[in-house]
Amino acid sequence: MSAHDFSPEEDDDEPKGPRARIRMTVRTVVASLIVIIAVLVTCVVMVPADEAVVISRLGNPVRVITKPGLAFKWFYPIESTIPVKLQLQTSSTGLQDVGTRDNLRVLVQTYTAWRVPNDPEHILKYLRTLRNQPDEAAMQVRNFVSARMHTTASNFNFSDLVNPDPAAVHIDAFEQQLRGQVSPQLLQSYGIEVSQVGVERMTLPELTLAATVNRMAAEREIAAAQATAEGAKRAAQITSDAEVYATETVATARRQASQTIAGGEVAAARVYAGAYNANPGLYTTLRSLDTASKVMGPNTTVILRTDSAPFKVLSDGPSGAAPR
Amino acid sequence: MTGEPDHLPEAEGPPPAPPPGPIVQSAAIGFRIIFFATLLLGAFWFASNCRVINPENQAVVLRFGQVVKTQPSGLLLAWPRPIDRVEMLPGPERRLTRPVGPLLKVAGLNEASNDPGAKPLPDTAAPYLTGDNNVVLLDATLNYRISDPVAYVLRKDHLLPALDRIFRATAVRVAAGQSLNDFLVAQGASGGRGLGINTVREAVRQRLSDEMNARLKALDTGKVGFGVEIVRIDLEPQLPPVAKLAYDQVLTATQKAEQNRATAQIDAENLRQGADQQAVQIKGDARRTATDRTTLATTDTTSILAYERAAGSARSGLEQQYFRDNIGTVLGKAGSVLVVDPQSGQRIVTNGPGARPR
Repeated sequence: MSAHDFSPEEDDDEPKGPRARIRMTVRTVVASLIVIIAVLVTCVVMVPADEAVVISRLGNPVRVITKPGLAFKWFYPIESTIPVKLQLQTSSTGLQDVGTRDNLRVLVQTYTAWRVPNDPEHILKYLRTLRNQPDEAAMQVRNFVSARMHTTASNFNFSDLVNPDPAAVHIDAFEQQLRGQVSPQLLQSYGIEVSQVGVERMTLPELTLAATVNRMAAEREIAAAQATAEGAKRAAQITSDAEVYATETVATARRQASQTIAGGEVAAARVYAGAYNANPGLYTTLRSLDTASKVMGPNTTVILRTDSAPFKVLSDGPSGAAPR
Repeated sequence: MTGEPDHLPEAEGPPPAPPPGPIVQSAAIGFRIIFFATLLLGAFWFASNCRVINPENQAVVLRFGQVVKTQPSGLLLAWPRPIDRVEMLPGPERRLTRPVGPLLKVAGLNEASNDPGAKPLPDTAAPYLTGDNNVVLLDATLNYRISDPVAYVLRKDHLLPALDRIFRATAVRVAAGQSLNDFLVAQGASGGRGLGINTVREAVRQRLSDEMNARLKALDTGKVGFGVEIVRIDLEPQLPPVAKLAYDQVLTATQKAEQNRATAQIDAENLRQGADQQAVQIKGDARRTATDRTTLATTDTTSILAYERAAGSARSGLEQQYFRDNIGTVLGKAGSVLVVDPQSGQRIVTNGPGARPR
């Protein structure tokens, strides 16, 4: 297939009319616009928020764009762009064995919240010193903070870091002091701004920590024994109190019972006395007969004289009937 | 172009061009289809950032990288990419959760438990020193919400590790000033400086939230914060595995002691009640005895008084009469009555009704 098949009017052998010339002009303009737009697109730089763009001309950084939005530069390869992230990042130091002022060892791990500040000077410093590598920056931050942690920790006693009184815990001061030590140097050396430093981890060396945990266990075992003994003591006390109460209650009841019985005896005696006083002879006779009646039984043999009543009447007859 | 027929008059112009062949016509149709498809795709592209934001979401629109607006629920109209970029976010009222990530294990904290029934320790539980020189393991889940959608969109890539670190720093600070008992039941009794133990533990959790928010807010003062706010921290404190069994023993011993005390109290109560009952019994018996005694005396003397009243003025023969009335009854109770004459030695034996046959 040849071009002749598709557009015979463009054949060099055919005369060009006004419409063909217009079409040619339009096509040329459109093509030129496309080329111009393509070139312009290479000159447009989009700067996202929380990022900066460094414009380098033939490798030399000439300006820094920090305002988000669109910006312009010369087309590649005259000018090229280097995006620099300005977001806040955090990095940890890892556990560091540091000594306190009272010569105790403690393992401390801190985090640092850092960022590249939004000003051209520090952005360029960050670019030149750390090659725009966040990992490299994090490593430098880690090294700086780790080194200063030793000197900072030596200004604090262990009781300033761990204390049962919350007001006596000065970890905030430790963090502020550490930040104060690393912040100016990191800004000056690498163009990194430190926003916050925090003690992310604080523990004891291996042997000390193991001993602490074992001590906790031992203390608890003692506490268990104390709790058991205390429980037994309280139980015994309760039982003892109850026994005392029971003994006292029964004794009191017996005393009161004795008094009651004695009262009954007194009342009975009073009754007997009343009866006696009414007729002592009759009382004596009646009580004697009552007593005799009580002791009499089927096996009892009573021996009486014939001259005693009532058998006397058997031998003597009615009173006065026969002389004795 | 290729498909257009030429309608020049036949008489004056060159002969009409031959009609395009089938291949040309096919190509022309193909181009038209591509043209309309492109138009359609262009329309879709143009409307690609127009969307409905649900009530649980919100959106942030960035135009050429610059934040131009935030949109709560409703219809969002925005230019297509690459002009506008729409970031969909959870709404400000939605609670997002973040389990605090694990750390490298600390040497010296023997993870092996001597309690065979103990649950395995989660990897995310990290040790913290408490103010009373103990160690507590804290496993936490953070509940947070987006307070500044713009800041959240810009820094969300670094948010989660930062949240973990800020929580740990806060927990180090808080735990260093609290006792172990402020986090979990370690001593089986209240140790909350005069407050209820649950109140103290709730205060510790609240303090963790407050101090975390304070740290997040401190970052916001430099306009570099993460745009989130801690709503609640779900804290699961645990003991080091080695010490856990010993702590459980304390609780067991405490419970056992309480059980012994309760048993002793029950026994003591039984003893008291038994003593009370015995006392009542003794007193009752005594009252009964006293009453019996009085009644007996009254009974014993009733007949005397009756005789006395009945006799009136004839008191002199009263004893004889009484004697005669009753001597038979008395002697009748005896098995035998032996009457002896003191002078002759004769005997009279009378068998009473109670005598056994010989």
